[in-house]
Amino acid sequence: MQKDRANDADSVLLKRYYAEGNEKDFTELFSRYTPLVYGVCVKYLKDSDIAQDAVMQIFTRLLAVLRKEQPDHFKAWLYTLSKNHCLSELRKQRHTPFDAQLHEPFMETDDELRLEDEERLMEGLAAATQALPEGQRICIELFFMESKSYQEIVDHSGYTYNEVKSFIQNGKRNLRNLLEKGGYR
Amino acid sequence: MKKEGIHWDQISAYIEGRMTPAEAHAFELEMQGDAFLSDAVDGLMQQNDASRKQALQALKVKIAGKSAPRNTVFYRAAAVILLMLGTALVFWLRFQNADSPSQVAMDNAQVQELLEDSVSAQLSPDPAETTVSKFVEANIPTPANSEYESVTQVQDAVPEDTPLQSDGSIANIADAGFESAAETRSMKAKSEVLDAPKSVFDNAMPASTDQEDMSLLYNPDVVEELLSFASSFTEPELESKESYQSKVQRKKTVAENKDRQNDATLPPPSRSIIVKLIRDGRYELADQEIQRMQIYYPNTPVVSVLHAALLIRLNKRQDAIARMESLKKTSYRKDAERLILRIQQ
Repeated sequence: MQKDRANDADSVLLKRYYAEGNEKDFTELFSRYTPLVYGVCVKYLKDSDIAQDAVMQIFTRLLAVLRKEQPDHFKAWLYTLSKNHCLSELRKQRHTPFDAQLHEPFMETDDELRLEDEERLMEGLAAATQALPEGQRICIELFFMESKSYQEIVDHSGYTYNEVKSFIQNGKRNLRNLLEKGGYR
Repeated sequence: MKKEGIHWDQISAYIEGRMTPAEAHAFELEMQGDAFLSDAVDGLMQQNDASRKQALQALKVKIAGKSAPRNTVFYRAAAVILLMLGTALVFWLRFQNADSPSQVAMDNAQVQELLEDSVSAQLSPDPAETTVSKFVEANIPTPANSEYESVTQVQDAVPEDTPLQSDGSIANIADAGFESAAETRSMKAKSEVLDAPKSVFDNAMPASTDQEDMSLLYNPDVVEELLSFASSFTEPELESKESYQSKVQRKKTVAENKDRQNDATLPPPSRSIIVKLIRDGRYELADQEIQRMQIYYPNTPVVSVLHAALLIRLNKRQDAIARMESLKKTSYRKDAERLILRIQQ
């Protein structure tokens, strides 16, 4: 009987793949993440054809690796594997070490920026924000205080999309440092 | 598509600028907590809509294709079927180029090649020794060799004064090996009821011996039905119908006659070759092979049916019917009755 894999959750597909070894389950699962994997590959490899090849290599590699290990968090595991594959490809192309990038966080997650004591944090937040460089301050305020989208901030500030994104990332990191330094965290 | 954190609709809407500012802000918040998503969106936004969609479509096809060949059972089965069809085609082409049906004389070299090809895996370590001609010379009665020396050698227990049956066929050799001398004589006495195929080429070719008018009785449709029926038996049936005792006896007989007859080095008789020989009108060789098959697969339905087909071709309709009668005792009773009716028509 044909299985309706399209309606199965990721975890169901993965468990069934481990149990039965039917690659159609894995293919369905990987297909869901293909746009993300491709996006990551394009970001790092900067070429559509090379990125497509990389996606297929990751697909094949995953099939082999999944026979040996069973990751608890497939999505996070897939991201790490995809990114490392791209960096490895870049290393081959350029013959330059990328180890530093491998271990450098590209972006903090909310988990890392967990606000444990929001009330206390808010006290220091306003002060800390004012201490940020102008670009970071403007973008942080517009994004977090006024809930503007990146594009709206671009329109409002005149910064490029990537600048806005970068300001917000760096601004978050600096805010955390300032808050920690001020004893708010 | 929305599966546990994958929001492709949202991703494409965001990338293509189809979100409201509020939706975009919510999505960007989500991206900040999801490095995978954020990196992917960064990459996807580096491309225009057309190239992105083209690349993703191409990947979809590649991934679907990549998984398809993994269904190895189907592809292995297909490979086996193709191999078998290829082999059948080779045989068919070879037989297409064979001599005309009127040429009954044996072409030993050609048959040897066919037999060796068909069962090469079972050949002796020294294929040069494996020749149908040697086997035929040693075993098959010919007008000049009707005494059929091998019969006397096999039947060591038979007194010298025991009269050899005029048709001293291989089937009888087998029988002789299986039974005591007295039993063998008894079986030969019963040979009129055609318990086993016997040679119909004792002293002359059928065209000169047939007492009936072939033009009246020759029925190619019935022969074809019989041949098709014989071809329908599965291979295991050939073996499974053979009792353990007869199998042991057959091996013993083959071993006993190995040095003299070389038949142990011959491949087992091939049903498809017999069918082809009958269709091609090479009745004498077909008869020899049927008798040899009787040694390998004693009293199996397939031997009876092949023999009956040959008998019809040789215008021995009553013998053919008698041969098919023996099939009524098996699980193929209905088939036997139907075919007997067809023969009688």
